[in-house]
Amino acid sequence: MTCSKSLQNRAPKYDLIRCLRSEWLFPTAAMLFFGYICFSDPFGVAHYWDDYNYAILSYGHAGEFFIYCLLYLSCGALTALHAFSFLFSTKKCNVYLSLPLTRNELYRNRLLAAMPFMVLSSVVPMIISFIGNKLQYTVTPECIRAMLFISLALLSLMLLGFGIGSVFAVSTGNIFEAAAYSALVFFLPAIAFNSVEQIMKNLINGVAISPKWSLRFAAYCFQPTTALKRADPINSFQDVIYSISNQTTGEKAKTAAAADFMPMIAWFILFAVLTVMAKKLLIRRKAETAGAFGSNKAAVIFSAAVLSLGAFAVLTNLSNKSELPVTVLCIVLPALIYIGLVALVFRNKDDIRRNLKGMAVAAVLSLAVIITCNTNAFGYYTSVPERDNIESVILCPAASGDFLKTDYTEGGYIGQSPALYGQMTAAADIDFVYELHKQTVKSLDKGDNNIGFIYKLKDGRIVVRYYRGVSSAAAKESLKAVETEWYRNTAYRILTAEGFDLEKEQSELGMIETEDYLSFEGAEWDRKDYIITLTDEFLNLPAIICNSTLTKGELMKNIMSKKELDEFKRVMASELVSLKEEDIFCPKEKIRFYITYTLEYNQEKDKLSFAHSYYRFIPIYPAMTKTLALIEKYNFSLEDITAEDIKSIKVLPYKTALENDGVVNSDIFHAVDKRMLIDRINDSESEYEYSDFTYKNKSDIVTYEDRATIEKYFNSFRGSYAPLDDEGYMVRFVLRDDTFFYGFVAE
Amino acid sequence: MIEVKNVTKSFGDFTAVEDISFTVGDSSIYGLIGYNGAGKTTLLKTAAGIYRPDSGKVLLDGENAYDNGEIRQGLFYIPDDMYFMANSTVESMANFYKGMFSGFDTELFERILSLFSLNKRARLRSFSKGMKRQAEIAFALSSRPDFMLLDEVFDGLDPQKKETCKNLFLEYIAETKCSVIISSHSLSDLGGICDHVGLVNGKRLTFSCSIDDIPTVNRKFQIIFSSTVKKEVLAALPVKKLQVQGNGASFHVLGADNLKRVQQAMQTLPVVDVRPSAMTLEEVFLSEMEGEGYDLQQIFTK
Repeated sequence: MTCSKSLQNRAPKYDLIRCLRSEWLFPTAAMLFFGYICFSDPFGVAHYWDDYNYAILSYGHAGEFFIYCLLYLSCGALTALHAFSFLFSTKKCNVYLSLPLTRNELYRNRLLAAMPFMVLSSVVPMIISFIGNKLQYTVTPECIRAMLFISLALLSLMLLGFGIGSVFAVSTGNIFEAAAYSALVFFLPAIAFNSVEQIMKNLINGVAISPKWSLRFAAYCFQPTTALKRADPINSFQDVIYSISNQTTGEKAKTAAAADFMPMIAWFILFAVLTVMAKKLLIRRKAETAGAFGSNKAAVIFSAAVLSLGAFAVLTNLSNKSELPVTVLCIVLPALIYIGLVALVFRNKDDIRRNLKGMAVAAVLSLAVIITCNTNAFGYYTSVPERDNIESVILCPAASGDFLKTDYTEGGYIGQSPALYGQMTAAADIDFVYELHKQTVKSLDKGDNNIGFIYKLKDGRIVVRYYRGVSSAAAKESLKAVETEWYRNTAYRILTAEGFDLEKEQSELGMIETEDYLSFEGAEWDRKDYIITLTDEFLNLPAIICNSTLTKGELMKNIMSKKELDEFKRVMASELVSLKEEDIFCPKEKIRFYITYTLEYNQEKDKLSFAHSYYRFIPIYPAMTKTLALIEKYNFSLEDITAEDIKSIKVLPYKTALENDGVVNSDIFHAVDKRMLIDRINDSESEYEYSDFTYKNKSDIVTYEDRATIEKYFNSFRGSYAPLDDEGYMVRFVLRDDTFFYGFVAE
Repeated sequence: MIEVKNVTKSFGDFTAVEDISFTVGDSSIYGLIGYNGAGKTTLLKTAAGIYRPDSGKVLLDGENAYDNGEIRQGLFYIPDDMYFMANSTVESMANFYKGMFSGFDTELFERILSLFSLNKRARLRSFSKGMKRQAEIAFALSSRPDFMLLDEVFDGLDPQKKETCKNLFLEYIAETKCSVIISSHSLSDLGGICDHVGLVNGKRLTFSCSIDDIPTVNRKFQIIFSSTVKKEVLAALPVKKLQVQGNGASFHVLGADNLKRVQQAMQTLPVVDVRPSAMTLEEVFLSEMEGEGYDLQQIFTK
């Protein structure tokens, strides 16, 4: 017999082979799932989009890319948990840790075994996609670059998941804890992001940074919330993948992929750090922790703290500064959740006792946040920049809805009044905004309006303030933005400028997300049955249609010559920018009609990557006498609707409408936010659900059929109004032919 | 050679073993005796390099076992609660150990299986506890280790298989220079196989000696005095199981040093008759455990 001394140790090599046999499961599952998507889409979308150069993911799947990110992240973590599962069982641990393997070799083998499968699971779906594109479309360099980007993105996420899973697998005693902590880390940025959002939304009237509900500010300053969102691995590739997934040209893939390698690099670096950390933790790991709960005390306390924060954030939804019980609940419950989780995991009196101070810290922090937010303790969000230090300012007036907004992502007026992107530089305009800001901070908690300010200071800083709960008076004052020099110079420029260069306009104004909106020019427009295109040359950019909501009978049919059209546009634009705030937001007479133009995707010109239609409105206010005269001259005017044409009205107090969750948003949006009517609805079954107010309690709606009441409401109806408080009514006017329209009627 | 040097291991606030030292020479079997929960398993896991000792060290042929793959190539640890891969057969587990241990002897494995009448294609989960033990012993011996750490290895075996296994171990050790530590709470399991024994009692190694020395260094005494001797006087001596009745007394003395002290003390007392006798391993064990047991009669008395 011979003994084993001095024989070569082949255990590390054998262990690696064993790991290679077992670590394929989760990466392969991810590969098959995502591979199926990549296989089906080049063929699937071909039925709908004949003009694609390549198709990696359809829009539907690209929009869900976070699911694949989560899938790869999770599968990476599951691979790690599976690879290190021997650490979760005392029996297994006894065997593995007594084998002729060092802990370093145990870690290295599992990492090396998982690596090829993780790489394959990221690359194979793109190879499938490559083949699909080769057969169905063409494979451009941009396509290959985009595929490479997606592969690397998924690989980085899977490795990140593996790294996170490894750290928790080797530092906890059981798989439940390891999985829970891994999941918590995956969702940590989202939890933090949403918690901060919730706290800001619920506790602060004015914020210095932009929360989700005012994303329009996003471009102007550093925002912790945006940074957190970018640090969220699940969503880190969503935008870029969406933009490069289906392309008619490769340009976007090239730019997008080139621009967004940063998160990927970050995940690779983080994976490397986690790998080193996991290895060290495994080497230092106490074998006796196998199967035990609460062995990673730091993770337990951290998780308890995160959940406590989340609970606090959710509870702030209940917050009402005047209600003491809710405030107490906001302080006590997160603290109890903290200690409850600690107690649940540790199940040890000493550990629980030791963490009582953590509970106290949670309560004190909650209290501190509430006090700081409610009292504006540091005066931060109410501070107004020094007048002399302001170089320019952008104002987002209250209740302006789409009217003053040129936030292209939200469907505003192109070129009409770039409220957000135009910068006021005239001294008088800055004075106006400066005084408005001071008035605003004094008016907080006295109304329900929102006003935003973005300053560019002479020292180069950007200061953002966004206020909620602004009084009606300050809100009304803010609407005087339409009387500023900036507005006169910029609003409706598209109607008068020759060859309006939108791209240049946007680049000068520091626009973001302009790409999709640059390609409208030259598009052709659909003709609808109930609207007539006046002429394709009405504007360079969009076609113009004219809506006749407030007129009876046939719609306008006259087509003007180019010269007549230019004259019409010039007169209309000059009158629009000369209007006073009251002419627009509470005119003394009814609006008779408005010009509508439509923006649509033009497949022939192949400029856009989406197919939405946008409707834009130019109200012809009663004060626009010259424009009205021209309309008269060109026989555009038709017989106006009168109170006699109204068969009945349904009236709902505006306050009730705002409070009622069941209200169809489009009712408010079209009839109130735009301060105008949009269409006279013929089809009660229309997709817009105009058939009725959809309130939970229909008893709030009162129907009138008597002439006196109908006349009273119709005569008060203006078709354009800015409701800055809760007073007034939402009214549905039903005509004798059973068509109807909605409108806001002031008190 | 296995050298356990001043090993202390704690779990949180609980100290499982404290400052334990002993040496197991080549071709030697060291029996580790102790009641349940005495710290035997902790000591073996520390020796196997599974636990890192809080202080002290375990050396296998002069090398630290903890996180040392090379030295553990010659180490096989059979835990009390055995683990086999899910759905594994005897053969597949043998392949596992064959992959891990370079010296795995397939022929020897086949012979041991044949001796135990185990079917190598059978699934281990279908085995009884004793059969699993036999399989585990087959894996251990076939790996041809230089060091074996066996935790309650005879647990579950019938008397015949127990004897067979003991003989197997003895044969293996006779052929190699393997050092073995066997832990058990059953003295009969260790009888006839160990050449050294150590008693773990209350986290410490309270007793350690060669089997051959047990009768000579551990003695029980029956003494008759010429006059009454106070019990306190005898209790002050390093004796166990002291009983005094009239002019007579009986007690146990464990260890050579203690024996020397007691013998010196006897010379100062009015001794009429002394009858020393050799102690068995069982008697030594029970003497050491004095004070650990319950008075069972008290348990059921209200």
